[in-house]
Amino acid sequence: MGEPLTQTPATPAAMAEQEKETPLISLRGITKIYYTTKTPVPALNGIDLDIQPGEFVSVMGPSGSGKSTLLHILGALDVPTRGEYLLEGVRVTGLPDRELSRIRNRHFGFVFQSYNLFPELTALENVEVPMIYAGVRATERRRRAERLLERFGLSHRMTHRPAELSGGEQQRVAIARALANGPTLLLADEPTGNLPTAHGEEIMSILQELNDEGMTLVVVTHDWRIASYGKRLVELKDGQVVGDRPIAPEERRLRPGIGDQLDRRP
Amino acid sequence: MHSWAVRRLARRWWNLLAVLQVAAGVAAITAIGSTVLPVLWQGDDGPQILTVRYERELNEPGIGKVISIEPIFRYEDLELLKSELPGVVAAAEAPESAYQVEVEVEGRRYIVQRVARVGPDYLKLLGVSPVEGSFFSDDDFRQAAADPSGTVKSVVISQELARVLFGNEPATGKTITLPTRAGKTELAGAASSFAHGSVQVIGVVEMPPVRDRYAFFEVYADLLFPSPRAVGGSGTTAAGTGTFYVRAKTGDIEKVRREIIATLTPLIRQREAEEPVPGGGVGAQPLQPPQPPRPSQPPPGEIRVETPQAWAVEAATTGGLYLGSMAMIALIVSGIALFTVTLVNLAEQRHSIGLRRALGASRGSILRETVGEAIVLAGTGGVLGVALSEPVGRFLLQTLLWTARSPLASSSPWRLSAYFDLRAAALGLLLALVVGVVAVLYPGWESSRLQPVEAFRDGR
Repeated sequence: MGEPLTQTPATPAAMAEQEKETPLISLRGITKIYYTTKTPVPALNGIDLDIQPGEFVSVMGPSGSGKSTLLHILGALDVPTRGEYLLEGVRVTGLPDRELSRIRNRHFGFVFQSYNLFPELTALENVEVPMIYAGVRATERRRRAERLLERFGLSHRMTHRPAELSGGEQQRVAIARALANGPTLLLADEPTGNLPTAHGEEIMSILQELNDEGMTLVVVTHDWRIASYGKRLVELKDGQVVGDRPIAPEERRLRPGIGDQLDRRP
Repeated sequence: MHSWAVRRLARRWWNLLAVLQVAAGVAAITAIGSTVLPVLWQGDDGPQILTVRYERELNEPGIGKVISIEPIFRYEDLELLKSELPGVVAAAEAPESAYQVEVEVEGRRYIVQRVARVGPDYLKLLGVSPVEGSFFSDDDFRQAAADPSGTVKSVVISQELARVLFGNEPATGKTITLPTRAGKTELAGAASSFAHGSVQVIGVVEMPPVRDRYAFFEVYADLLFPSPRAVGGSGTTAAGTGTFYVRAKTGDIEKVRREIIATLTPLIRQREAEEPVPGGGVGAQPLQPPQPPRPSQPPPGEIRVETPQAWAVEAATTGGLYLGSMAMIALIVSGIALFTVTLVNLAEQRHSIGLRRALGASRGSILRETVGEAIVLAGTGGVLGVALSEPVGRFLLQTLLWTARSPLASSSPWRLSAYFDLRAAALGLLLALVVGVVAVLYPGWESSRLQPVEAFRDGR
């Protein structure tokens, strides 16, 4: 798990109480307006959202609804124009760059639609990158990266560059990289968007397995088949939350024995 | 700085241009610095050599005041100093010499930096001795005096030249040819006087170390002939000289300097009084209080005794400033190249920077990585420049000779470029790194200010 943020309650009792009550993520009145053209373009309009630890939240909405913007703000990749963002009860908006970088590094893991691996690095080195910024020693970095890649069935691909890997393999490397520093929250933006269906299901099964192990997940998608792997559905339209409900067990897609499957891969 | 940053740099061919630009600047700095800096750094720690000069300030019509160096010293003055002053080890006049002289050995042509006719005290003055064979005998000097036009067939060479011409084989007894073809012998100096045809090496001398050679600027040579001006074993000069060199015993060089002036001044005053000094007028009376000069009478001259260090430092400072500024301009241009290349790299890496920021890189990390990459580029260029400084110097001189249609252009030059000095190389490398870092600070800082999401949006 990620390191605790700096503002923590003073006593163990207070900590326990806060853990029970404090959501992992709390957004209040989050508004994002882009000023890149003469006319301001609102992307998010007063979003209120709480995410509890261990949730698997699918964010759906049509193009331009603000899904990706919400994900960027959740991941501290962008700053809201207005509103308040609390992570484990600590105000994130207004933190200095150094602190935001530390939060991104220790608390969040990102999985992108186009994998976003460094083309000049091997799979192993790609997984090591976040640990470099966390100051992990080289031997420990290597050990952790190998373990993660082995877990996702990539032990035979460690020294391969992204161009030598299939889309599914690249995305599994990206997931391994996202988990490198033991994050609190995994953020995925259309994680299966560039993959054929079979590989897409494989990736979603991995994410579901991670959630079953206690990882909090937020997946942005416009595809219900992908969203249905989650436990909660947040729907956006025109930068506003228009729906927020649990996904019923009968609606939910459940992973097959993903771990066994991956271990049997050549 | 990780190895993957180097891999990223290697993927972009234009980085090579910046590296080559830096290499050119550092090569220039190293080549110039290797010549100039040892002189400046050595200070007063050089060989105990003094130059003794007679100078007279004349008022030339239409020109104004000029310093005239006149041949007032005689050979017996040099003998007197050696016998009377215990601090004087050797005294010798400046040898007659020529530069960049072409020689042939077994059909191969070389350029010898300096050829000189030297007297019997030459080796003592330099503080060296033969490592092979012997120095010139009295007979050699007598033969040279008997036929100054060039029948002498014996030469002594420096160990450095011996190595170039004959490798590890003994040089004594080997033949060197100084072509007699008109206009083919040398680049500068008294050409025909050294066109001896074939000569035989009778000895090899280990010359003073490179760092000391500035002290022997007018004395040092690689190929030596016996001087016809020194006759017999004791030798006498056929004519006077205006400058000679003294090697002092290690110790109080200042005391030796004062003693030389005190010993020679009465003699000079006497000669000024006895003989009309070249340039007109009647000399001043010896040992008399100074009298106001009459328009027709030149003022009394002055004996100047100096260490070559002072002169060398002045020459090195002037030359170093002039050439060093040009080399610095080359290095600054390489800084501009690094700046441009970094801008292009950062534009290409915009997406990668956004990704690194998303994975936890702070602004400081991005700036450090950019500066690190500049250090790799500048450092690579610097090392390349240091390695190339000597061959590039040779190539440039060869090109210069070719452009000037010099017949020497086809010869194999040796020792044509500046000496290599490790400290000058280190300075060149350091300057390259400083220029590299300064050049990329601004683009690096600009890139580090990107919000991660902006870089993602704009990047490829």
